[in-house]
Amino acid sequence: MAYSAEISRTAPTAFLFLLDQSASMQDAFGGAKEKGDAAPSKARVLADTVNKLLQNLILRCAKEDGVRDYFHVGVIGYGQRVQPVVRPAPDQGATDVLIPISHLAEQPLRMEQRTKEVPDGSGGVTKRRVQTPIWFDPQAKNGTPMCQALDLAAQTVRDWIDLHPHNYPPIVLNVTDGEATDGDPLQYAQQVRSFATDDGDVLLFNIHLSESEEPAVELPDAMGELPDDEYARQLYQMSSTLPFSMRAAAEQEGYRVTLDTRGFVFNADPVALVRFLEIGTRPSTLR
Amino acid sequence: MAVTVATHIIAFPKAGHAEAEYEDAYALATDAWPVRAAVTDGATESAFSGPWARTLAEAYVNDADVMADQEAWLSACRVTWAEDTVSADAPLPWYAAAKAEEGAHAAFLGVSLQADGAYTAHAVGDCCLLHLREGVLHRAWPMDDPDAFTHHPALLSSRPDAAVPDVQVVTGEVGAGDQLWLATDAVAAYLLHPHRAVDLARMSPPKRKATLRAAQANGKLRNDDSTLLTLSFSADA
Repeated sequence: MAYSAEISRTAPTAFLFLLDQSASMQDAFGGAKEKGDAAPSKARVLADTVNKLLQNLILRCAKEDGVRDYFHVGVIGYGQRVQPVVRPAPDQGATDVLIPISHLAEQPLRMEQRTKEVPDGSGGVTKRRVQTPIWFDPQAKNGTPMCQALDLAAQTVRDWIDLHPHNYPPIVLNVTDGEATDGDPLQYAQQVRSFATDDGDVLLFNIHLSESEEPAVELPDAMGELPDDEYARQLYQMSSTLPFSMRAAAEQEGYRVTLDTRGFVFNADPVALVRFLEIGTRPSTLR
Repeated sequence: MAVTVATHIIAFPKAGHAEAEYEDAYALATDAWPVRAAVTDGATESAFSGPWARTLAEAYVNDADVMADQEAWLSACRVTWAEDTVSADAPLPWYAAAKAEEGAHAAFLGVSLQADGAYTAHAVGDCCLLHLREGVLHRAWPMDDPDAFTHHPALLSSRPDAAVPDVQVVTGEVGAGDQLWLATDAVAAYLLHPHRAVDLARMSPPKRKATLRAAQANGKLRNDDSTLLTLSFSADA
């Protein structure tokens, strides 16, 4: 059965995030401006969300004696440039995209002090300062070179699969707020998804950040669920169907899923973004 | 009828893991009645869960009256665990500190046995007691269905603010020739399939261990830390 390979230190899987850093990411999420909210930019929300997600992925791998390399993780930003936005491990080259998660744990850009509410032991809450790792800051400049980003993703997963041909296949999560400005991303997406390990094809999921107050379309299983929008249909076609473990995770979150459910969210607000990134990073059980 | 007890322990880690990464635990006190035995299963998702599992098991066997005040037992274990792990001299890296704050978690099974063969068992979660009589499975508790094991059993948490889950209790009696097996979840689920417990009961201890290892290697026993503590009873000489 596909997508059932056990994930272990000897057989890790890979997560590759592609983050839109184009100029429009300076804007707030759809609807926020109309409401007059002093809302943070999409770039800020995305950077906070992915930094938090990286932290959670590390904590899933952390034991008392260190962080176990169940995952290799990469983050590619695309806007003014198309490049990795987290530092490679010391023994890796500057252009290496996927980093063993133990190296990511040891090398945040900086640690920030944040305040967190924790239970006080007698039914209430108290505030505590916690050290929060930050790997990258928000950026928003120029166009949306999504095709170049997908091309770099394809090279990255191809090279990774050469070294890990039997493992749970890499998962690529693309987050964008706009149309590609450098060509037709569908063919590049198909290239990414054409690579496979013995356990299944590379998974590509797409999250489109909201431009309007229209409700999000989350995890559709048919084109008919989408608004009449060519761009939405294109991102739908670019997206893989969810494997079993993620369908189960989605059902636990209250989504109705079928075998055709795609890893795609159109017009996501911040809540939908977080929810999908959680589901899309739930491959099979770690050992 | 008074009984004497012989014990045997099989314990090994997940495939692909070092012996030091084994996060189940077991403890035994056989030098006086009541004889006490415990197995615990530290949750893989937590950090510091091996020490938590050991603390729970050892506290159970070291005090015959420990379950008279379960909250006190758990509170004392939490203090021991915190002293052993979090207050180490060297500051923890950020991820270890975060995991320590989340706490460690473990499933628990303990058995306390009187000289006349009467026993009381306590359980939280999916560690199982198997009572074999005349070579067949007489009782399996608290679970008897190999398909009922999930990834979300009830667990004891090391966090001081975590609720104390209900401790399940059962009583029974053993006689000469009986065996009580205390198993962590993967071994229990394996043994609850038809014939396997009976087959294993007929084997010598080394053969039992080889059989369980082979089952882990071929996937019939789920790849998890594996513990089987066996108490065998004979008539008092």
